[in-house]
Amino acid sequence: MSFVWDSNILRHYLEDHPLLLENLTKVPRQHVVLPIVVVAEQLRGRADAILKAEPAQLARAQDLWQQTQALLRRFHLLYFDEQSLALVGRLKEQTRTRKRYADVLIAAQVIAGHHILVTRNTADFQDLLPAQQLQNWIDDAIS
Amino acid sequence: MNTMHIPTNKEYKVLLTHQPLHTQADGQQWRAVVLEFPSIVEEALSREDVLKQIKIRIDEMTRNAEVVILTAPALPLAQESPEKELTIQGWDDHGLFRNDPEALQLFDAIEEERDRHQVGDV
Repeated sequence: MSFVWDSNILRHYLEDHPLLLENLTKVPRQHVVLPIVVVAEQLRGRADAILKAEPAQLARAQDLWQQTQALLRRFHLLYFDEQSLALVGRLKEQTRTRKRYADVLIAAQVIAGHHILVTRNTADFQDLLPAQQLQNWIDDAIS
Repeated sequence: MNTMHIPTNKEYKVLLTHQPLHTQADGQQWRAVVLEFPSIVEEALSREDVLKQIKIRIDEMTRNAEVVILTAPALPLAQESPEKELTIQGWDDHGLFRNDPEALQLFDAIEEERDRHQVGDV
């Protein structure tokens, strides 16, 4: 079982959210993983910035790419396996309300691996994951 | 609070040390300390005597004594600084974009992109 970080937790990690940092004093880094969706979103965003940068912004965009790559290398990544891939299809069929596709992909990995999703957007996942597989380290202190 | 009055024997660890007196004819000075009760100390000129004396002192001390177990607040343990605790846990790269709102704009773009890309669109 690992703690799977959603994108918004990574954001608060990078901007030093006080309660998140307090929570992290209780969690070894090797217990946290980044789902491949979150990693892909980061790399796509930084890559897009390079490809669309004006010459004056190119060095800055490249610098952010390098910093982001270095950051992501420090995390264990969570890749799709057979179980989570099968669950994506099932969750898509079960979803009755409009759901963000990235959220469904992440939820499938969390369910398949018996992980815990850490996100600030718990409302978006409440009908995808059981309560015991959902935590918010930005607004709630962990014990 | 619990009290115990059961007369039983137990073993005490006694530290025995000896050192020569001023002249060789004076022999050795023996010293015994009960490790559990370091205030109980005896000295004698032979090993046997100092052991006898220290046993008498233990007997005297325990004859009119009892062991009482008290519960009291524990001493607070020294806390590591939060920064050191984070480093110990491997979180030494936190705050990478703390003063860089431009770098964080990507996260807003990611949320917008997720909102645009709904199940059913795929």
